[in-house]
Amino acid sequence: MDTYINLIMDKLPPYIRDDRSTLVALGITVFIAFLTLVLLGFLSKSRKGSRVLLMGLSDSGKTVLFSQLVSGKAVSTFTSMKQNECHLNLERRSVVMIDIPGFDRLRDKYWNDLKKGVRAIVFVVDSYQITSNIKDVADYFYTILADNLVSSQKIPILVACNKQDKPKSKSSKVIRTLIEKEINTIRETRLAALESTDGDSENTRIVGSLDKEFAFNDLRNAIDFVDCVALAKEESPCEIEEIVNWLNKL
Amino acid sequence: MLDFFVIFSKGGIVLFATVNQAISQVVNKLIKHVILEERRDEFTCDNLALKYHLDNEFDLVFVVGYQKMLTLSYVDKFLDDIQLAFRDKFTDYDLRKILKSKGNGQHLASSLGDSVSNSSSLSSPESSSLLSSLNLVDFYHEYKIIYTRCCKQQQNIPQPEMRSFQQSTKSQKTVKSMIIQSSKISIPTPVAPIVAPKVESKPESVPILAKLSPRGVRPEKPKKKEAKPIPKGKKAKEARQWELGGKSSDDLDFSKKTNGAVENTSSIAKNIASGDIGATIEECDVEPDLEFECSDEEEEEDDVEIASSTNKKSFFGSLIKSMSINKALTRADLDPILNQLRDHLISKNVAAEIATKLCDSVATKLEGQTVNTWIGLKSFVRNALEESMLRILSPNRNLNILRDIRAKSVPPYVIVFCGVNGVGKSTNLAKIANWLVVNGNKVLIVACDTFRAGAIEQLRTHVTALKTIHERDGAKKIDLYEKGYGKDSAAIAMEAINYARTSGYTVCLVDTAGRMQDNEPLMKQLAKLIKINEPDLTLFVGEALVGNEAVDQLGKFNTALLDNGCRGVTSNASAINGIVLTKFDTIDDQVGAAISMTYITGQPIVFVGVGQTYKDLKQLNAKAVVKALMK
Repeated sequence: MDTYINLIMDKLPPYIRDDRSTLVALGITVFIAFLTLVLLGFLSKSRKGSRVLLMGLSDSGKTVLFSQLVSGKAVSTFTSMKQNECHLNLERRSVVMIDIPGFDRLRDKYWNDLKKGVRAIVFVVDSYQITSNIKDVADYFYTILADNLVSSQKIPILVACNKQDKPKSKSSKVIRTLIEKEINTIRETRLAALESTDGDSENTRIVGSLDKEFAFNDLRNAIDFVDCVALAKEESPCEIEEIVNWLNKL
Repeated sequence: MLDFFVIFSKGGIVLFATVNQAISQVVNKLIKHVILEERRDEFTCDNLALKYHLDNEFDLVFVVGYQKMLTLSYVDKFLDDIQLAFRDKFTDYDLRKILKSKGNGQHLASSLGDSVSNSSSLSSPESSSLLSSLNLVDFYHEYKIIYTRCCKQQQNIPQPEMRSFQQSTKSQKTVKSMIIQSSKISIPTPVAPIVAPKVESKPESVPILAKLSPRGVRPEKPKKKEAKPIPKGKKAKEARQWELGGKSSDDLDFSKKTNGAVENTSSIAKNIASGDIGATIEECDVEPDLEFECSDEEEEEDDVEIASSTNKKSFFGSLIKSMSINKALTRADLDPILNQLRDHLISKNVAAEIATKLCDSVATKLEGQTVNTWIGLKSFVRNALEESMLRILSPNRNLNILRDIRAKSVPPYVIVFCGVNGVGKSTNLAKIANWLVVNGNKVLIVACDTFRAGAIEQLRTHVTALKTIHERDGAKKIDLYEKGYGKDSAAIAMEAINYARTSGYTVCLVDTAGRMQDNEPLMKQLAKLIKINEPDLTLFVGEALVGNEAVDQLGKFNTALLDNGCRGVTSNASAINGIVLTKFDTIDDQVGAAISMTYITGQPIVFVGVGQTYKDLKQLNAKAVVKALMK
């Protein structure tokens, strides 16, 4: 350390090196600059997260909803390989909307990468196919609920039951009970799951108490269910007001 | 001749599509099974063949689809041209701006510049307006131009005709000359007709390439190609001169070095130029090849240079180099690093073939991206590779066997174990049986290994042991179903499943005989068993010790099952729908087999065997495996 200081001292022009007061002033300047940087770093971290994550299974309509919320445009979409991000100005604050890919191989990675600084989660469900893929929907939803960050920070979650325009699609109330029932079984089977090869206990966290039936009302997170139609067609306009209202309350 | 063409962002938003029918299913399949599983091969689905091209700087994907019976030679060029045209048109492309801009693509196009709006006004109004209502960006005009050009090129490629003997060079030679020629020059004659059309087509492509060069995408190529037409102009015939022969004795005097060198090179250039035109037969035979050899050498030299420059020994040199890279990555930047990483993967027991494919695919993912100068190129590539491997190891579907067993409307839930000899099928079957019984299932073990002596006794020993552990309270929880040796295993399995159904077992574990992947009759027998009984889960048991052999084993098992009419329950491409990785405790950090196996099948590793006792059964932790691989 001393050698470095000496090195710097040698480089300085002689009129500064000789004048003590200039040297002190220089030192103070450097110190203040450093302090400012540290403070800035703290400020940016301590600010509560401003991310709103759109999550859900593949093909449930996340990217379409994202585009509707951000720009009001209907787009055609394929399976996402990367997240979509955009700023969105709400009534009270501006947030970053992030649409997380729903494909099985990708979603864990993006969830782990992006969950830092999450403010709210919109979980999109395909109400038309809910009966056939309820297992996967509930499993994914449970993974989110069981996450440390979500439970400790009481992240509010909105379950958007998409594709209500299709006939025979289930309403949000039905979906709520379906998911509750399914989570009951998932809790038990998750508990019985094998240990992983390096022995971490991420899977074995339990949401709620095992003694009684699982119900969303028992959770500390605020969980709401709404109906919506993200993809606008001629006969059925896009209905996402409820989601916008919910977001505005944040 | 193309069925469809789409541009979409990696986030999944379609920017431009030539059709509005449902192609999403096909493209989704392409994304899920090819792009995201790091395979680079072509994708065929039903009667469509799909090809894709990634633009990593803008995060875009270009996909074309065509009838797979057509062999379209221009598809690659078409995709390249389209990408460049797109980059030219939308130089400051930003998806968010496109999304937020009011109205549709044409407004955006006009706001981007005069030249662009000109071109859009040229396009036929009815077609562009129809399509722009569907598309976020207006790209129809450019697409049309490139498409028609490519089509023309396809038609213009002359079919090389067979020459008659009179036309051939051979006919014009005397017997004597042929003897001398063949002793001197060993280059075959048919090279010439193949070369000729290539040279002719080049001037056509020059304007396109010249247009690109200011953008710095491929700075080298245009120069080479532009240089060619100039010597071509020198059509004046000159006396044939051998490079080292010289015109007079002066040229032979090499003591005057400076002059001689210049003249020598110029004479070489002349020779090459005349060779291009093919003035005489001999030249036609010899010169083009000489030229190509030269260019090959040049390329090799380039490669060597790149390698040496990246392998700088001094620390500061490499530091400065790593900090100074701030341009789009090229293949040449990536290759040395990826070669290193590939060797590293192979040393961790990843099959060589798989390691190469993985690195190739990472290279295509990274080409064109700009590197953050502070991270450094090497760790940037490492991170990309880690990410890819993590994605491969992550299961492609929700894996909760206990849940699936409960959900099965008509029990039992059938699991078939297959694999080569001695990998631990029976042992791990017993472990899994133990785990299932602990979690409240009634398990029937079916002995379908009717071949190896002692196989049934081995299972009986396991069952007796498990009975003493779990059936202390008297309730029946586990049993063995066997019909002795030498019988048809498929029939035994079927009887067993029926028996399990009537007597209330929830799970059937079917143990099959170990077989080598090349043994055709045994593979057919296994396929029959699987086809008749339609198990819910077909698990391939493979040992973690396996290296390059993994590719062969799994590949052949899978194809043998598919060829003999088996289909997975989920009706995806694989007949095997899960992997049991055994002897995982014996390999320390040589965990490459995990990657090899998941890559080949695209199926998840469901169980990992880590020891000798019934409790030594675990799940795979993808992150830990990737960490061990990159260590």
